[in-house]
Amino acid sequence: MKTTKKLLVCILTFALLFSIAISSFAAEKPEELRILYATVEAGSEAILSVVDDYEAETGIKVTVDTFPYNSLQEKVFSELTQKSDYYDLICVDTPWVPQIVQHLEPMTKYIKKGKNSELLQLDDFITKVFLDTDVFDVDAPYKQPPAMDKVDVDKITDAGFDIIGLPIQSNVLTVSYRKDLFENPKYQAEFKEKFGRELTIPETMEEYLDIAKFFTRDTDGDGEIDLYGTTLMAKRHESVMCDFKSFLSTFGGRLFDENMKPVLNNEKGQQALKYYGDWINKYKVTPPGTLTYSWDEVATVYGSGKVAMAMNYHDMKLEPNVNGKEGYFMFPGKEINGKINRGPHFGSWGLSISKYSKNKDAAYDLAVWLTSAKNQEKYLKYKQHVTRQSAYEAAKSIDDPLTREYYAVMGESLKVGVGRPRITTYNRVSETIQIAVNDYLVGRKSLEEALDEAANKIEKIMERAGYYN
Amino acid sequence: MEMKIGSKSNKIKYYFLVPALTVLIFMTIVPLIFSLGVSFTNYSPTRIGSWSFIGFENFIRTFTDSEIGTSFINNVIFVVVSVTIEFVLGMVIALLLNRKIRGISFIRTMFLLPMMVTPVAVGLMWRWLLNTDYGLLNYFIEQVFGITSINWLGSYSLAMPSIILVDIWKWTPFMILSLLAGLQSLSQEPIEAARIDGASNWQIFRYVTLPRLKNIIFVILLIRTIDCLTRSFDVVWTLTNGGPGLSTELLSLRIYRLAFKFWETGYASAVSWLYLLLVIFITTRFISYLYKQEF
Repeated sequence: MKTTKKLLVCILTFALLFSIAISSFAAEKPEELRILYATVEAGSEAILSVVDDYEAETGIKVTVDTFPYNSLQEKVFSELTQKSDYYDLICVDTPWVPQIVQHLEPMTKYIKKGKNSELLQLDDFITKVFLDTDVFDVDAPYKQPPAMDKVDVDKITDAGFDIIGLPIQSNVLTVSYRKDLFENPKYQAEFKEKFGRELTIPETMEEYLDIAKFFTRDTDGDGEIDLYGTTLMAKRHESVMCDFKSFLSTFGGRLFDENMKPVLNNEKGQQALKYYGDWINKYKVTPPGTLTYSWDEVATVYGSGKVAMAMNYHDMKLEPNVNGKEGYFMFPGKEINGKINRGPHFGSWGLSISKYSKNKDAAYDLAVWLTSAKNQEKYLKYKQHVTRQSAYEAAKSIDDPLTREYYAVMGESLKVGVGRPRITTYNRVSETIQIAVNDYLVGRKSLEEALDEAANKIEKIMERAGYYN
Repeated sequence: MEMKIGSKSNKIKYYFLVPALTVLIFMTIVPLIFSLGVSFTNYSPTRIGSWSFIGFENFIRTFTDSEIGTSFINNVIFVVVSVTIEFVLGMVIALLLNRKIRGISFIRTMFLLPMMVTPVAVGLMWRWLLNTDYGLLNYFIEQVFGITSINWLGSYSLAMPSIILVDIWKWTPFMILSLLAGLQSLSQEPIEAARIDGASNWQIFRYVTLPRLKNIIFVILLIRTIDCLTRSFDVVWTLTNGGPGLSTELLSLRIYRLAFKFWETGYASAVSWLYLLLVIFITTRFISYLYKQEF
């Protein structure tokens, strides 16, 4: 009896081990791949629309879990730091990369193997977007990749950099405006009389401000202003950091110098912040609640028709009852030495393979497929902020003129966009700047005080993180 | 023989505790000790394999960190003002309701509603109610008083009062219900005796009712104080995210940010430990103070 039992146990154990071995061999082609993705910020609708095709093509089921921005960041960080193998592909926002780059599987070796090269077509990606999103020195993530006209893998690896993902979405600051107001002959005549020039799309900050002042008015004659010139996103939120950075870059300033010392408090930084604050406090061309606005509120306010121009990272729509007409143009620049300098904030999303995924090969194939030219063309239907030149070419033949206009503006803006600094302490630095800008806007601190204090704090943050060793 | 059985069953009862203790040890004690250990390091989960012991540096840093200081002061203001107003309001309403009113159970249910709403939903709802440009509150204020565009959540002076207002809206019902339950459990004889002796309503409340409510008052103040100190997170997070500037940053938000936004786990653990000690200190002092008080 005892021997039979022993035998039975042995057989069962062997069967168990055998089935485990079989299943690990079978991992070559997994049954399912899981993606951790952003709900709105990286356009999940477009991705969800094609994943069924992938299952039909390959037999691999693709599950996409989407989260709104704040929860996604926590989810991504906790999944990776817990070394969880649940997700194979992870959607990564650029400012997170320096902190999590060690948890991402570099794609360079897969690319160099020449796998899927006909779908990959690296040189079709917008070079700037590709380099900013997914080319990093894993050991020194603060380093900027070498300049190049087209994405060149050898040049990237020769300089000691790795490709850590493939860009899937590129967000850049653009302006949505009320075309119906701009085309109104009454306003056109009035504007010409007041400013001596036509009411056209502004190229510079000064022109933009003129138009904003012009449209800030009481339209129904009840003695209260009901139309404002523009929006800003001044809430203590990542949005105000991006706003300030856009103004700073446009004024020719920077957050850090080559030695990673903060220089946002220099003359250019002061000019930029003063200009930003003047729109809210001096000229009052923004709605009164601007200090509580982030990207969501701006979309609502523009939608209600209460502002003539509004800045955001996607195309905004007017509510049907406004009876207006939308249009888009680039974030204005500033004339520096006879040339218009532009610096709209841009930040993009990449698809990266988790280092802890058990299906890295399959995950790589899926990432290539999802970012391929043929799929990006399909994404245009969902107004996805595509990352390939061919997709922007394809966008030129979209039927809807408004969507065409938006893609043209976005494509041009991406060429001049300015990304975020590549630092592991980004969230801290961003928070310090958010507080400084808020403190200045509500009048708690003077211009110099707010910026100097922020610079001091940032220097301490950077020092503690070991940037000056 | 009886002794033997007794001692055996005595042992058995400890075995029944094992599952509960195991859960307690792994869910509470181990993380607590882990966080204490981590608070002496510069550990951050986003950096692989590079952390070291840094002694008391994190603890010292807490005292020089101006953001922690501001958050602490905000927290004190928040706790003192909201708990006081909630208590006073709760007491007044409970006294008003402590009589035979028709439909009292309906009124009581209505008062329960704010407490039953999820805090994040409360935050989002009030964010729109208090919105400067579209908010319902501003609309009514404009209709009645003609004042326009009050910047509830976006100005330094109003943001803190606004989050206190929302906290009061949400938690006064708790005070009302607890005090009402206390009032209704009191026997009527001493009150009637006082009335016969010619005591005024105020005297009855002050010298007869209030002293007998002492225990319940003490419990609810304690619960709300600890709650306010440690758990006021979701509403503030959704309403203002600690802004504008640092004007509504509470310590719970600050610690969360340090741990899960900046990923400075070591430092966040140190701040949490100091905060825990502070909360323990405040509550024990509070308990002994209240017990000594003659009402």
